[in-house]
Order: sequence, then C-alpha cells, then structure tokens
Amino acid sequence: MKYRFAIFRAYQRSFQFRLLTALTLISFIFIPAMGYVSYLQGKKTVEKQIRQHSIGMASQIAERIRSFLASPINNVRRLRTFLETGQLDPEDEKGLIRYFHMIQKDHPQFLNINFGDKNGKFIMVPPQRPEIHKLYDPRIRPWYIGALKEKGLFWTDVYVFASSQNPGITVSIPILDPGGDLLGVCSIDIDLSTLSRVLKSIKIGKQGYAYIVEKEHERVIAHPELLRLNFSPERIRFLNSCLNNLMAEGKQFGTTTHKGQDYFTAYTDYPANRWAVAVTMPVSDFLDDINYIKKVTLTMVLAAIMLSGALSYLLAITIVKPLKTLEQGINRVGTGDMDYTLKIHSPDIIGSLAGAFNQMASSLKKSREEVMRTYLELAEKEKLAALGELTAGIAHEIKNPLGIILGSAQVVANKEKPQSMRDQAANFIVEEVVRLNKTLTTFLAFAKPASPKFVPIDLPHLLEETLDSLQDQLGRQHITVVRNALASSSRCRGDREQMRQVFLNLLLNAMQAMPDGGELKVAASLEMAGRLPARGRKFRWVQEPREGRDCMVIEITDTGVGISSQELEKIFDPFVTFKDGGTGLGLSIILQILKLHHAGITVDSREGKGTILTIYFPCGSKEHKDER
Amino acid sequence: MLAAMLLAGWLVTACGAEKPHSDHAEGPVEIQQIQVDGISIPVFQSAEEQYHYAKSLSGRPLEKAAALKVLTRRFPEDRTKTGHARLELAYLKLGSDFRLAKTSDCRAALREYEKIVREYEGLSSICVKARWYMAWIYTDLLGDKEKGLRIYTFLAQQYPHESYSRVSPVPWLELVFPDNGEKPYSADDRAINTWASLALLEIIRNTDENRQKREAFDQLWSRYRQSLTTGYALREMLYSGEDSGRMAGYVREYVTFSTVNPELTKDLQSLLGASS
Repeated sequence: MKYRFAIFRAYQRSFQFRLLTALTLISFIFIPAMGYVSYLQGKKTVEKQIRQHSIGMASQIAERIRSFLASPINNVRRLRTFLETGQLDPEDEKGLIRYFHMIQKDHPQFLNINFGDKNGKFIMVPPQRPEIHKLYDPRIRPWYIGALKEKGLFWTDVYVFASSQNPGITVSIPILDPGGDLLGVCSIDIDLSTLSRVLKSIKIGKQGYAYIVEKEHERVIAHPELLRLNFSPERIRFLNSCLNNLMAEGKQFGTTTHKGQDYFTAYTDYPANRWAVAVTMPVSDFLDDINYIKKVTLTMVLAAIMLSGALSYLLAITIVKPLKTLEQGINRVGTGDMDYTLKIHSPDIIGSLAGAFNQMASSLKKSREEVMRTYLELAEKEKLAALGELTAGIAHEIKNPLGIILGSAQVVANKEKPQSMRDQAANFIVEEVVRLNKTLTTFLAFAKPASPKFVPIDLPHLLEETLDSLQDQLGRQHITVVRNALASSSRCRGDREQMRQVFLNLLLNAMQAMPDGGELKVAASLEMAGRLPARGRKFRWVQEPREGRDCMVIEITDTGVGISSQELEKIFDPFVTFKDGGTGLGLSIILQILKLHHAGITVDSREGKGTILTIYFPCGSKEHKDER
Repeated sequence: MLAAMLLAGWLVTACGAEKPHSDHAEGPVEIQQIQVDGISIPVFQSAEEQYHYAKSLSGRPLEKAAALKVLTRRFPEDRTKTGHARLELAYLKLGSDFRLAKTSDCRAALREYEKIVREYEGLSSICVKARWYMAWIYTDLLGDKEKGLRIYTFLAQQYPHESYSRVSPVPWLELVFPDNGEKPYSADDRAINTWASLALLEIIRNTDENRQKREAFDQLWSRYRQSLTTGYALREMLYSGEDSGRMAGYVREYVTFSTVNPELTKDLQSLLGASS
C-alpha cells in the first residue's frame, strides 16, 4: 500500500513519469492489441478453410468408397445374372469354383466369393477350413438372411467372417429361378483391412484420419490404423467419441479436445451402408502456417514494444530535459540571478522557448537595474525631503524659543532697563529653555524611540489608572467619563510605560477636543483572531495589527470637535499639529510605539461630532514567544 | 501498466506456445522385421502374437507360410504354438484351394501331418488335429475312405474331449469393437465342438455300413448330444433312410437345445415329416 502510494505520488509529481507512462501504455496495449486482432482474423480464416476442406474431404472420401464398393456390387449382380440365366449352373460346384477364382484373380480385394443354396450347400472361394466347412450353414449367415429380407442387393453390418475370423462386410444378392423361387444367395466379402487400405491411401493433412463409422452401432469399422500391427485402441475410442459427439449435437463438423490438442472432425453420411465417413485432423496441422505467422507477429510485436519503449523513454527524456533546464532557469532568475542564460540549442519550439526565456531574463535584468536606479534616486530624494522637513520642523520649534531667549537676554543685559523688566525677561529665558528642552526630548523620543521592554501588562487596568490620574482635570472640564467592560486581563505583553504614554496622549487629545465639556467613553474588550474589522470600512486603518492573533481592543470615544477629513490624513505625520502649542509629534510617537508592539490603530472622526480611536493590541502565547 | 504487462505476458504464452502433439507422439513401437523366403515378416514379442498375425494373412499363402516359419524358428520352446504353426504349414501344402489340389500335394500334406503326429506325440491338441486332417485328406481328397474312416475311428476313441472352436480370438477385433463386448458372430460360431464328434460325423457321412453309422451316431448322442455335429449327424441319418420312427425321438429332444441352428431344425423337421 505504501509502495503504491509512493508510485502514485511519483506519478502525480513527475511529468516525465506521466509522459513515459502514456507512451508505454501505447506501446504495451495498442501494439499487442493490433497484433492479436490480426492473429484472430488469420485464425478465423484458417478455421473456415479447415471446415470447408474437411467437409469437402469427407465427401471426396465417401465418393471414393462408393467407387470402391461399386466393384463388388457389380460383380455380385453379374453373378446373379449368370446364375439366373443359366450361364452358370448352381449345381456345378467345380464350374462355380473355377469362375469364382477367375473373379478373385481380377479382384484381389474380394476376400471371399460365396454361393449358398437354399438347402445349406455352400461354395466359397477361397475355401474355408474343412472343419469349419463341415458344419457351415450359409442360411444363418447375416449376408444370406439380409439378402432374402431385402429381396435384392444387401450390405451387411460389420461381422466376423467365419473363414478368416477377421471383421468385414459382405454384399449379397438373392438368386431366383425363372419361376421366382429362391435358388440361393451370392455374396462377396470385403475385409475391413481392405477398406482401411483405401482410407490409408488418402492423405489428410499431416496427421489427419479418414475413417468409417457404423452409425447404428456407433463404432469405427475402418481406419488406417487397422493396418498397423500394434495399434492402440485408444485412438479409435477417441475418433469414435469425436464423431459421436458431433452426431449427438446434430452437427456435421466441430472441434474436440483430446489430451490438450484440438481436433477438427467433419463427416458425411454414406446412406447405402448406414455409415458415416468422417475426417478428423489436428487443428495444428492447419494452424502451422498461421502459427508461423503468429510467431513472426509476436516477435515483431515484442520488438516493437521494446523499440517503442526505448523510444518512449528517449522521447520523454528529450521533452522533459529541456523543460527541466527551463525550470532551473526560471528558479535562478526568480532568486535574482539575472545573468543566468539557458544553453538549449534546439531548432524546435523548445529552442524558441529557451530563446524567449533568455530574452525575457535580459529584459528583466535591464528593467531591474532601471527600477533600482529609480528607487535609489527616489529614496535619496525622499530622504532629503524628510530631512528637510525634519530640519524645518526642528528649526521652527527651536527658532521661536531662541528668538524669545535672544530678546529676553538683550533685556537682561540692558542695565538701563528696569529691574522688574529684566527679571521678567530672565523668567522668559528660563521658560523658553524649559520649553526647548521639552521639545528636544520629545524629538529625541521620536527620532530614536526606546526599545519596548515586554512584560505582561493588564491593558484595561493600565487604561483605568491613566484615566484615574486625569480625574481632576476631567472634572474641571466637565467631561463625563463612561467606562465600558474594562475587565482585567493580563494576556498581553508590552512596555508598560510606553503604553501608559499612548493612553495618556490619546486621553489628553480627547480632552483637548472637548474644551467645553462632553462625554468620554473608554472601552476594552478581547477579540478573537479573525474578528477584526475588514478593510474598506468607513474608519481608517492607520496601522493594521499583526494578523492571526487575538487582540485587546481599546476604544476611546469623545464627543469633541472632530477632525476634518483633510486633517485626518495628516494627524499621524510628524511635526503636524492643529492646535496651539503642540509639537506635532504626539500621535507620531504613539504610532511608533504601536508599531513596535505590532499593534494597530483606527481613527473614525466626524467634524463637530467627535472622534473614535481604536487600538488593536495583539495578545496570546505565540505573540509572547515571538517577542521573547 | 499492470494490465499492459499482463496482456503482453498472455500474448507471449498464448501465441508463442505450441500445443503439444501428444496424441501423435504416441507412435507405435517399431516392430522388427525379418526376411523369410524373400518376404519381410514382422517379429512379435510372443508366439501367440506371431501366430495371430500369421492367421490374419488369409488369402496370402506365401506370406502366411513365411510368418509361420518365423514362429517355428523364433519360438521353438512354445510347443503348442509351433505345433499349430506346423499344422498350418502342412495345410498350405494343399495349395490355395484344396478342392483343386493335386494328389501329390495331398500326399505331401499327409507326410507333413504324419511327421507332426510323430514329433508332437505328447501334445494331444496338435496330434488330434493332425490325425483329423489326415483322415479328411484320405476320405475327401484322395477317396481312400477305408483309411480315412480308420483314422476317424481311432481319433474318436483316442481323443474324446479335444475341442476346437471355430472362433479364435484375433486381437485386431478389439480395434474395431472397442466398447462393445458383444461381437457380431452368428449363432453357431461360438459353439464348441470336439474333434472326436466331428470324426464321428464324418464316419456317419462316409461309411457304407449301417452298423458303423449307428454306432457312430450312438456315440455322438451319448457323448455330444447338444453339439452342432449331432444335429448334422441326425440330418445325415435321416438322409440315409434311417428309421424315422427311431430318429423322431432324437430330433424332438435335439431341437429343444438352445445351441440348435434354426435352419437345421427346419431341415430335420422337414426330413422327419417326409420320411414319416
């Protein structure tokens, strides 16, 4: 199972494997299938020929047997004519013997020529043994009884000749006197070996047999093997069973399997003797040629499979190797190696693809260099612009106090001025220096923010504390505080002082936005990961928190003057302030602190209605680990 | 892929493997052939096979003689079979048709039979046949009934129980009737007769003396009552004008036997009716 999955995975992953599989399937299925179909066609044709040939052969053999048996029929008829017309005298034993010898000399295939009269007298050529002849009665012999019953020409079934003790058949005919009374019966015996000799002379394929079966008794009566001396009867039983099977099925031809070999049998009736003349031959006799073709086809199929398998492999390699090189090239270029070029010199589409790839890589390289150059230029410009902006901010923040200090210092130095005036000027100098110090401290906090010291902090509690510290001021400004679900939670980690600074700044901003009093709502809740508001909502994401973390959501809502949409775009920019005496760095520092904590912040504000600031502070164990 | 491999494997086995020609591989065992009198004769393993082979050469006297000679030379220890072979060889001296045999041929055959009687004195099955043939040649071929009857009489007394069957088992028959134990013989083919009963019948047929005829018949009736020869003897007795009243009892009893030839029965009843 494991091995199978490994193959399946390899199949899925490897284009080469899939291609090779497809080509191999074509080789292993279609080529053999075509070969096999051709073989079946050939076999079918040969089998048809076998059928036609064997049926035709059986008919021809029947004709030969008819021709062979015509001779004894003619002779026995001639004998009848001679005896009935008086040309031969039935009482003249010597005369009959001589005539019978003459017939036999001309027809050596006649085993015996017989005449038996109605009184039991019997003449036979060649003669029987005397001890047999002495007790022989022709009237009880099959040929005699049959001829009388038939009242004409009669063929016996196979029976054992008294003379030779061999099996045979006899044709007989009754002899009548002019008055129509029986004189006797003439007959001629045919030994089955003679009939078998006729069958043996007929060539039927390499190993085929022609044989005669007595249908009534279902037995083989003549076959070439009868002439063999040490013949096994098993063959005859087999031939018998072949024919009996066909007869039982009512077919004239069919196939029988014997000892693992197929034999084709066909027969034709020989009604004169109630026989069937049959031909049985091994199918292999006829399939030799087709077997040769089969072998050649098989060899060619195997060769084709091997060759196509090898070609399939080479083809797969040829197609896949350049593709792999191309893949390597893409990877190299992807990792930034723009100098990499494909070395594929192929006149086909792969070559074109490689050329296009190299051209693309070259263009990419040029574009990248251009982009880099532009980027560096832009960065330099931005840097200079930022520096200029920063310098302008600093200059602006320092220039005014310095101007006041300069003016005040001139007053202090002018001894002509009244002392009270000089004291007031000295106080201005001190105030402005303090202010300048504060401005520079804030600037330093922005320019070089301190790294947060992450400790477990309870943000809702911290918010509560900060809020409590402003309680008096809130009261003075007639601001009502609403606290929603500020449940304690220590799941977050962060820098306690920096977060206090964030909350303080935000709360002070809210308070400043409500100079005539209002309502300040603070809320804290824990939101699970994935439940953060989506982008594109009406409020603006100033900074998104790290994804995939639970968040402590801190929401500070005021009912103050609100912020216009133009101002909203710039409130987090450094040195941008829309209130008197502000440094313009408060929200910038808040943003920096939140960035350092991977926290997010959104602002939703409407002029004259108020502002909602929401902080999304990431919590959870993973966050802790990351920070550690 | 697996299916393709299997298909290829099947093709290899189905198309490549030649079916064995098992049946045809079972060829007959080669039989040695030897030349006798210029004729090639197969040599079998046993005297019995050799004898059956020789007997099957009916109508081919030269081949038959050669085959019989092979038997006498190759199996001299089998006295019974060589004796039968000698008897066959002696018969062949009469030529292809004994009815056309010359006197010299008959004499030659007689000499052979006499030699056989001397050489196979202890084998009664051989001697009885040789003596019967001698008697037959004398009576039927040479016309010397006196000598023939003497030998018949001696034979009937000397070998009362030596039988012969007209059907000798020929192995080739088994090839033709492999599954059929019942071979198509006529009714009287299987009747077992004795040489003695046949000799007594010949005495009845050939003697001119009524006393000898009656004695022979009485012996037949007492010893071989159900034999076919007894039926023929009854017919001979009725032909020869024997007292029908005396013979009627014999005929009535004889026709009740199961071995009786139906045509012979008709003859007997007809003769009996005619004489009465």
